[in-house]
Amino acid sequence: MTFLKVQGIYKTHRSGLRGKVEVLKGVSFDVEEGEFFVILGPSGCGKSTLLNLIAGLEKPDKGEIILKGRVVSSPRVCVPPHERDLSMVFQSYALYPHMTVYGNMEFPLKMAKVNKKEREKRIREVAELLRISHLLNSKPSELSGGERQRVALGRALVKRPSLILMDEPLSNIDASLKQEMRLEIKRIQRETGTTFLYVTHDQIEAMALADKLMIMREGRVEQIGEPLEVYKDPKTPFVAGFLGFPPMNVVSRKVFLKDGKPYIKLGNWEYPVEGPEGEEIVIGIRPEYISLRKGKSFVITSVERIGNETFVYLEGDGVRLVAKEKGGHATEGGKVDIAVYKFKIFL
Amino acid sequence: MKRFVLILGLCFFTIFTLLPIVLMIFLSFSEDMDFLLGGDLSLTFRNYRDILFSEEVSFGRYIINSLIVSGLSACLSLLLSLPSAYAFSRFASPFLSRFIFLFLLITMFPPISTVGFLFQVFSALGIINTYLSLIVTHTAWSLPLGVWVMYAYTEKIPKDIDRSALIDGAGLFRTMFYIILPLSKPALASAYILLFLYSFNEFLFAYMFTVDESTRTVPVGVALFEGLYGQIPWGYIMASASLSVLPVMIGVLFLQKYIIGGLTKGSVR
Ligand SMILES: Nc1ncnc2c1ncn2[C@@H]1O[C@H](COP(=O)(O)OP(=O)(O)OP(=O)(O)O)[C@@H](O)[C@H]1O
Ligand SMILES: [Mg+2]
Repeated sequence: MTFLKVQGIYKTHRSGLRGKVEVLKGVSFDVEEGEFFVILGPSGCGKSTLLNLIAGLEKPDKGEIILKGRVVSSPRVCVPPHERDLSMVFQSYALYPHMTVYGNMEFPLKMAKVNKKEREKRIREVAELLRISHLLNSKPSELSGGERQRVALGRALVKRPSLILMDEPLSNIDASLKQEMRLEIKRIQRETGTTFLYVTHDQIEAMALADKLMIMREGRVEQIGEPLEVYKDPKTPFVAGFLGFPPMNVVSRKVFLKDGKPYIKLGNWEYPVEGPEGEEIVIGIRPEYISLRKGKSFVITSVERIGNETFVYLEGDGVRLVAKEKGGHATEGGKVDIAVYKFKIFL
Repeated sequence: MKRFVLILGLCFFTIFTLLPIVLMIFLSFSEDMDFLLGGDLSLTFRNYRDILFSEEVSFGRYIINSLIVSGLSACLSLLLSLPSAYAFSRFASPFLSRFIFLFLLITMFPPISTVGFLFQVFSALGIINTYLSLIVTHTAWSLPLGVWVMYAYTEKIPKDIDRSALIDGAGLFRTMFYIILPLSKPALASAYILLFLYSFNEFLFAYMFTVDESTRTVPVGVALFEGLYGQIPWGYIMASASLSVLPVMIGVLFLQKYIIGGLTKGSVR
């Protein structure tokens, strides 16, 4: 049995000033028990709305959410959040400002009628894990953003539900702690076998954590799969342009005839293809599959050196490209030709 | 220059609001009204002594009645306001919440238009000249104000906070009790003062539904001084007014410390 089944969800927000906003337009996916399911997508694509629907805070206009075989959400049904055995880390943290950190983490346990001793034990454990033991007696207003976020995380973890929803739980934590937290979250998930539904727009986080990755765009599912599979084999130009560091170059070229044979052309680079003359072909080229040599078809507009990698930004033939080199001696303003080792054609 | 104008404005405002109060206190201590007409000013405690301890006037009783009626009706009204405001803020459709101000229409309804009808109902129920009749009407009339004040505040509590409580397993009632209620303290305090003052100053209902000293409130009692003495006893009225400001001032001072903003600070980023 599928643990969580989301089927054809539509959701329109009605707000006073903006009128109707269609946020989700037919979202479907399955999450297996114990899976670390990551949802990745640009800002405003409806990720938080989706989590709210799964949590039971909002009702879909169309479609169904089936949790452990039970229809929990549909236009007519809405099982209240506390009957769904889940917890949630809000994007806005949503801590209880009048309670201490301890009180915040204790609240869900109190509501679940866990006895005092057990409550204390679990809170200390989780606080230790999240490095907030020294903050237990502080109020949320006395904490930094990252500390607040960890408290929010702790509050979701102490409850030990069968499903945890996380809405960008690490967005405000500094890089080194973030990496540590990432590992901890993954470890907790493995050890407890809890199913995680994790929203982020940090692709490193997504790649590192996900058993299954779902890419969303403007209220629709773009692609679902294992993270590496999605990375290597993006099904749409959008996914291609979203993943990778830096992401894949996606350009559209017209087929032209050379000696009666169809070709596409990008600056100095030409490649034989199949297709009638004049057809638009969308291709994706990973930055690492472009190599540069002295020439004249592209101008180097800027160069970024990050560690031992260099991102070279090119402009020419009506497009902008980015190439990735090891080491590298590209200089701004220089002129180059390209060679492409590998590319992908989107249909 | 700007500063000067500001200070001037503030001075004017202060004088404008304080002058009547100062005058009131002055008059409450003066033997008669002569000095207003240019006569001598003679200070005395007689007015206070008379209204507090004389046989004819039972001002102490009025104060107690007023405190009971206002205290309880404000409590009751607040108790009902919080859940209504919460429900309005969280569950009313965007369309409906645009019309919440219509609530206030009830307060604009002239009490005089219903007082006769209410009198008959209360007579039939046998609760004329009881606290109950006043508490019920005052609660009903001040409720919209309470809902309005509480609504404005509840709207400002980030919705994610109570959503989070819902997920954490608190139902609607426990969310209201453990989360919304403690977070609303500042609004509760200011709303309480407003509701209390409404009831404390209310005249028409209090006048109609009370028959004798046992239930008369301060405004009614003071209004009846005239009948008692044939002429308007300004000294007594001013002394009563000064005295009745006292409990309200004490209340405000006490509640003031709860009226602080920023209670939800640190909850959301
Ligand atoms: N209550 C609401 N009323 C009206 N519109 C809303 C409401 N909540 C969200 N929206 C709109 O719905 C869209 C999706 O919002 P949502 O919060 O789900 O995005 P998101 O993917 O979580 O974005 P982010 O990554 O920035 O958090 C946005 O365009 C947003 O403006
Ligand atoms: Mg979001």
